[in-house]
Amino acid sequence: MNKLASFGFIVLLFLLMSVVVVFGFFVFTPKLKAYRALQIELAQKQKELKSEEKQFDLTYTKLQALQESEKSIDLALQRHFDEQQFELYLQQHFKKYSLRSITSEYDDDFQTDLLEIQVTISTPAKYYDFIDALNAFVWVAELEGTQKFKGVNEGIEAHFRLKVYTKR
Amino acid sequence: MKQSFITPKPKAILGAELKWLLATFGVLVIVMVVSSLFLNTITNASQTELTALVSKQVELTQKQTEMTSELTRLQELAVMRELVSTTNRLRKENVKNFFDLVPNDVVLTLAEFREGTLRLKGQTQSIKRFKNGFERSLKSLFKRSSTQFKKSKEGGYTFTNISIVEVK
Repeated sequence: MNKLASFGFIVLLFLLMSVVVVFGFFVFTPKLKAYRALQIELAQKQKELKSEEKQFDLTYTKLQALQESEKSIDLALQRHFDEQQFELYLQQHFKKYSLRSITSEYDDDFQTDLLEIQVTISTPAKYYDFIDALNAFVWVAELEGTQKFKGVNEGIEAHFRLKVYTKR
Repeated sequence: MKQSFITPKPKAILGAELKWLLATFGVLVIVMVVSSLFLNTITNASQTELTALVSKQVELTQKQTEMTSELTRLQELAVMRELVSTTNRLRKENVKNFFDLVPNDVVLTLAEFREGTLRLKGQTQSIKRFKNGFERSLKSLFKRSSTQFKKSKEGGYTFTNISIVEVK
């Protein structure tokens, strides 16, 4: 190989090496960097998602338990108040009763029906039983205001007010 | 002039070194292109995976928000249920505890449980027994308690009591 050919060979070698280096720096390295960045982002997202899934599972379990325990009040609040059905309920507990007045109040969340009730009971125990049964009532009913007990010939005349809540 | 019968071989266009150089370069180019394509493929796969993860995360966040609002609603219901049942139970217990206090020699004709006050009417045979027994119990439970007596036609006394329902 003469001198000129050797020089040409070295120049060619240099050019080819340059092509490899340029490709490495400007094409391969950015792609590799982008891939690594993407892998890091992916790992981070996977970690975030795992943590969110864990949180989701916890909330879901809590929600299921609460849905089960609050099913009755949820259903009771969805139920529209029906005076006739309420009278049937009073009949089950008291022989003599009267529903003296009904007024309805509204706020953002609830419709509240105020009931003035007068019942005749033989012993106070009947009244206690009725109040105990209120917590398992088909509506959400709260005893409110004055409770008045008056001795009459047939027993005790009890006056009380009930507040019945219905979801609007 | 002597003549040779050996036919001269044509001179090779590329020398051995140059062939080696070009072959090595070719291999390098193939490696670069293949690795670049491979990087493209795995980057695209990661990008797709990342997009799927992000959309799953968005979906999960949305579900979590819905669930949280449902959870808050149910927690409010649980508080309400607890409040209503506690109010009912307390009001009933107030009445029950009070009636349990009434001694046998006192006959109540009226008991009115108002917010903050208790009004009683009834009959007793002896003021002294009333004061030593029933009134003492009332005074131990309520902040203020005052009783007025009237002689009854049938014998004995009728009384009117007002107590301030404020536990000492």
